Order: sequence, then C-alpha cells, then structure tokens
Amino acid sequence: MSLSENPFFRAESITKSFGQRQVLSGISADFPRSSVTAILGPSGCGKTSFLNILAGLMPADSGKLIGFPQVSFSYSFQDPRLLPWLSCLDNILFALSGLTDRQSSMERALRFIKAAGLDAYAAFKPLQLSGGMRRRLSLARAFAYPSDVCLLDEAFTSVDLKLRIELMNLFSLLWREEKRTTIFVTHDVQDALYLADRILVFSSKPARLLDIHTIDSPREARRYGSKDFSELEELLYRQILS
Amino acid sequence: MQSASDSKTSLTQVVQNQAQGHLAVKLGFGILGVGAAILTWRLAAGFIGSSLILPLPGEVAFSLMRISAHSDFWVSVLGSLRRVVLAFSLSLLVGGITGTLAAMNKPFKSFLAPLLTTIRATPVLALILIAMFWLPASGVPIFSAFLMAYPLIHGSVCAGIEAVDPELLQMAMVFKVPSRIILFKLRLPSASPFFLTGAKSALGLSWKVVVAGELLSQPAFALGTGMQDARLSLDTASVLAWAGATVFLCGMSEFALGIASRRLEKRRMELPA
Repeated sequence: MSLSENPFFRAESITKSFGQRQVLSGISADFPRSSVTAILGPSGCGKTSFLNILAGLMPADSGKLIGFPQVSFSYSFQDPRLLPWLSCLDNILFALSGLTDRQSSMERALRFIKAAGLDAYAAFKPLQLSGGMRRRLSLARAFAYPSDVCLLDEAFTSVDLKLRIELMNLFSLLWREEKRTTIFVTHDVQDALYLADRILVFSSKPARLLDIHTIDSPREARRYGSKDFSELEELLYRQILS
Repeated sequence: MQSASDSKTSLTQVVQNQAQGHLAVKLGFGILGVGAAILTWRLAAGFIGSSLILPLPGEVAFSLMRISAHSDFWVSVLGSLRRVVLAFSLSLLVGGITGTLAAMNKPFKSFLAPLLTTIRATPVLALILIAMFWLPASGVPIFSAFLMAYPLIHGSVCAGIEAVDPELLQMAMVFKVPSRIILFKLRLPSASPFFLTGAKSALGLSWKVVVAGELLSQPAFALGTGMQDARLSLDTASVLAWAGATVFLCGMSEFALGIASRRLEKRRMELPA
C-alpha cells in the first residue's frame, strides 16, 4: 500500500529520555488521516516532546514512525513564535516562503488571515496585537501552510474562557477548509471533548498511553462544557488524575 | 461624572508629566556635572597659573571662537567628517558581510579569528605609523579608523546572528523556510539591536582614530592637523579648542545615531508596515 493510500499515520513504541529522566515510555498510536486527535495528559507529562518527535524536531530514543517522516507539518506552538518585525500578513508569508507559487502563497495567506478575522490587522506588527489575536495569527499561519499534518501544542490555553472558545471555533472553521490530519496537545478535558475525534490519554511522567477514546458525535453539534459526554468526561478526569 | 476617555487622557497626562519630570532631573544633573567640571578646571588652571600648561576655560572658549571664525576651520570639520563617514561606512560594509559569513560558517569564523585578534591587539598608533608608509596622508586616518572599527562591527553582527531565538529558527524549520529567507527575514533582523550597539561604539572609535591619524599624517584640512599646528605654535588653548570641537562632533554624531537607531527600532517593531 502506498503512503498516500495508507489511512493511518502510526507511532510505534516511542521512548524518550532526557539524561536519566524518562519522559515517554513505549507509546504506540494510530492517527487516522483527516481526523482530529487530542493528546490529553497532565502538565509536564511529555506531550510536547511526543509532538516534537512526530514533527521530526527531536529524535526518539527508540521506536518507529510510519508515515510521519515522509510528510510536511505545520505547527502552532505553545508560544505563538511570531517575528515581531514582520506584519501579520508577512508572518504568514514567511511560513509560506518555501512554496514555489508566489501568487498562490499570497492568495492562501489572505484567505486564512481573513478566516482568522485579522484582515483589518494584516499590516499590523505582532506587538500591536492582543495576546488572543497573536494566537489567532499563529493558528492561521499553521493552517495557511499546506501541510499534511497540523500539530497544535496547547494552542488554546493561557487565555480566558471566552477567547479559548473563540480560538477553538476558529480552529473548527479553519479545519473545515481542508480537513487536515490534526494532532493537538492539551491538558484540558473540555477542550479535548469539544474538538477531538479521538482522545489519547497519557499518564504522568514517564508518559504511557493509558487509553484511546473515540467520539462519534459531529464536531459542529457539540457545545463547549455541555454534559453530553459526562460519562466520558468523568472517566477522562479519573484517568489523568490517577 | 468623569468618562473613561477623560480618565485615560488624564492618565496619559500624568505619565507624560512624569516623563518630562524625569527628563528635567536628568538634564539638571547633567548641567550640574558640566558646571562642576568647568569649576574644577578653572580652579586647577588658577592654581597652576600657566596658560601653556593649562589655560583658563575662558581662554579656550575665546580660541574656539577665533578659529571657528575662519572658513578653514569649517573646511577642516568637513574634511574630518568625510574621513569618519568613509571609514565608518567601509567598516559597516565589510564588517556586516564578514560578520554574517562568520556566523553562518564556523570554519570561516575560525579562519578570520587570528586576523581579528591581531587587529584588536595592535596599538592604534602602531597601526597609524605603519599606514603612513603605505598610504597618502589623507588615506591614513581612513584606513586606521576602518581597521579599528571593523572588528567591532564584525563581532556585533556575528554575535547578533548567533543569538537568534532558537524557537524562531525551529518554527522556520518546521515550515521549511529557505535558508536565504531565514537569513534576510529572521537572522539579520534579529541581529539588528547588536548591530546598532556595535555601530555606535564603532562611530565613536572612528572619530578618535581619524583625528589621531590626522594628527600624525597631517592631511590638508583636518581637525587633527589643526590640533598639531596649534601644538607646534605652543598654543595650548587652541589645542584644547580643536579637541573640544572633536569631542563635540563625536558626541553629536553618536547622539544622532542613537536617536536614529531608537526611532528605527521603534518603527520596525511597532508601526504598521
């Protein structure tokens, strides 16, 4: 089966240690194409390290990645990582500068900056934007880059509830544009229940994969903080607190 | 009732008033410092009692007025300024290029290191004396100032590029941004604060070395030549007047560069493109 036909990306028995401290202990998981997978676990358990290994930013000590090394990634980091001397539009164009077709890069940048509601701020520099707007710009940049896999590291945390819901709704909107395979890291159960098709639950350090949950309900029908998944919610809290 | 915009305006006024107050205090203490220095000078000159060794401040001021009344003084100022601008621009150009290459290529950095260490360790006067064998009088100050300022620019550009935020580099790597774009849109702009600090030091140094070079090589129309002529005439007041003019010009150009770089940095980071 060729790579493009393979319905899954796969991580097999991934382990990682920093010195004597083991952070990932034999993690194996499948990531279906065009799905949204949440990696849920307590803060500092090694979720970001796992994401960095998938993206090829950090080598695993052992284990195997199937499909990941051959594809392109976009990444919305915990910190927006914007270039302060470039305008919003230029920040997106910077990420797209490896693409050969300049005209289509510009069109994509404009399309996604508009989708993020930042078209009026296209010429503004990041320091002139609020923290929430910078997060939106970082999300827009990740989606504007035509990658095979989109990685989001705590992209909705450290902001107030209203902004968090705004960001997650923006994510849903951007995701619908191209339905890209997305893996996002969070320590918030509600975020995972609101956005994910599948939830991988990591234990505390060294992280092991505790469980995989599938949510069949369409994303558009979900409400943030609703009790529709109360049983699953309770189970997830029990698992991450265990 | 006071509206939100009124309270915002009054807050802005309070902040502006505070800033003006700080500036006034800073300026006040600065003037006090100058006054104390002149008073010490006046007392020392009175105590020594010889204009040849240390003239009175008034005598120096009079000499400055006298020499600045001649067009030769202004031509000399322009001549020295031209040499400083040439040496400084050359060091910016060469230091910028080699600093960038050294930051991007470690073997090249190691290759240049002995040369730069030698230049840094060479006394300015030795450099000027050697340059006098090689170059015409007018070229000596430019060459010497270039050699003194160049390592500063090279070092600051190299350090600035090397100090680029690794997280931004990692971001560029994920998005597969080409190296050329990383250099021009990420590495070089990151280096700009380092570069501006280095440029300010290099400008001050250029003035000092240009005047020292002029003093020894004696080109036509130069502050250093004026200073040397005054020394040969045993006119200490005029020597100090020429030196004062040099200090003033050096300070003013550093001040202008500081304002320009602060404005540039503010504009670069804050204003819409």
